[in-house]
Amino acid sequence: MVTEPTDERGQLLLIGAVVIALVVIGSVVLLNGMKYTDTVGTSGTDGAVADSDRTVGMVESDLEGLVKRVGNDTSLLTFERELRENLTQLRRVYTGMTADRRSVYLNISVNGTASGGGILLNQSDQEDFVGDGGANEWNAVTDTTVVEPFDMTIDDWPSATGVGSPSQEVALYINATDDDGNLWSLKINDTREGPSSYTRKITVHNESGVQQVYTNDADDWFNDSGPYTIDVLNGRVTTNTTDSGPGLWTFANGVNEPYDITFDNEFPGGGQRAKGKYRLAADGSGTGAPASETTPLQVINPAFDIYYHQPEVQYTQTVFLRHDQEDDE
Amino acid sequence: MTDRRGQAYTLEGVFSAVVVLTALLYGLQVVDIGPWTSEAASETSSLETRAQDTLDLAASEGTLSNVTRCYGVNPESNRGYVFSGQNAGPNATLFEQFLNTTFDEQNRNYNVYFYYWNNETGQKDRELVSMNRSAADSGVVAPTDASVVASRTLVLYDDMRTRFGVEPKCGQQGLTLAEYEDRFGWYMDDIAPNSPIYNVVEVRVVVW
Repeated sequence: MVTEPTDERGQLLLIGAVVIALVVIGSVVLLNGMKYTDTVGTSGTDGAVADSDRTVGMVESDLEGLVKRVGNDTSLLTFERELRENLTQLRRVYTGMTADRRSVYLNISVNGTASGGGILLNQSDQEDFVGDGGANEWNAVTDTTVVEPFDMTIDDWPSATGVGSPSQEVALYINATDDDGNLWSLKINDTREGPSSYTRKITVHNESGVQQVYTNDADDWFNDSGPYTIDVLNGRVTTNTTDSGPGLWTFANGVNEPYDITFDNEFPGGGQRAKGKYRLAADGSGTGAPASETTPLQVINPAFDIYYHQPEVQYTQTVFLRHDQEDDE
Repeated sequence: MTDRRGQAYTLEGVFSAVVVLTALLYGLQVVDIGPWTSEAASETSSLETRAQDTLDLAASEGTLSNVTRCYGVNPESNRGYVFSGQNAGPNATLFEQFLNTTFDEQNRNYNVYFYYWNNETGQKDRELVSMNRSAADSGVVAPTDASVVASRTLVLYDDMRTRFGVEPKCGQQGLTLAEYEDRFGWYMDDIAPNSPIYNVVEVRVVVW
């Protein structure tokens, strides 16, 4: 017996076909999305990352030039202020130049926390050159590579009386020593020709022996009543009326970086110890100077935050630069 | 009864057609038609990379900075520096040689521009340093649609020296930029007189 097909069976077939078709379309849409992500989706971001990387590289090399020049033009005392001022000028122009071709926001700032700092030792009153607690021999700066400025004013020149047996002299030593044991030393004392002849003498020596000797007998610029200002870094001795000119000695000659700077104010108990003022800025750490004379310097070897933002990518990169950059020309 | 079955079949046919067409449409989107089209897109991308690489290389070798400090410098011994670009010859600067090798020998045209900051207007000024070789004889003066742009920014400082000389080009050092501008004037001004910064230059190459 043959049965007639019913309406219900036709509808069932129709609905079945539609469901299968929907499944097929859904799969196609899904695969389409996967294919898109694989080929097209990230290429824009890739280009943006490459662009940003390139831009940051450019900024870094330009900042090296800036740090070098600001470092040459200023001492460590004013370095941070000058660097920030110059960076403001550079940033203003740089942002305008970079944002021209595409939508980019670029910001460069000094990261004070990440920057390598140092210390400023400043004895501004006329006092003995002594360390914390009145120590005669004390470590002013440890592990330093950059020193600037380092000058001292000797108000009272040391005078020896020859106390002790054998007689000891009163002298002030400024020593630079490195980890290999190399020594550079500047000695300030009198010529020990008797208590009445109060004369002045500066001796520079290192591992190779005595390098330079200056006395008031031999050097015209040394015949003033003082007080004498000694630029230890540049090898220069001046008073209100005389000037030796720079280059009497080379600071820390024969000593490798990093080095320590120590003061040794020998005092056997008689005579007069050197008194005066000094100022020393360096990128090392301080250990032995009186706390009241020590001020931290935040930025010497600067770190910069380079913030880069364009629609596809946004990030901040921190770059570290040395204070004494190599010449780029 | 028979009429209603016919309607159901028609509806089924219409639905199927819609479904098949939609699937076909989506399906065709999946197909990567890149290989069958021209290679213009990938070539443009590679050209841009080459242009950027040329500038980066020139910058790291220092010749890019030299060229910017040489252009427009006109000491008495040398009647000005002309950036020849194309077929620059053996005495050319390294940057020109890079351009020759990378673009001229590949039959590419390019323009080189210097953009520098102008404090008075608060904007960039543009200096067209080198124009493409075909401009004069073929009439193609402007870059085409397929052109790419690459640029490199560099900072000039007061104490950098101007360059001049003929053999080789820009081979000698002259006054510093600050001194030169004081004495002779230069097309580029010192944008920060109280700072070591002289100006910021963007070297832009348009290649097509």
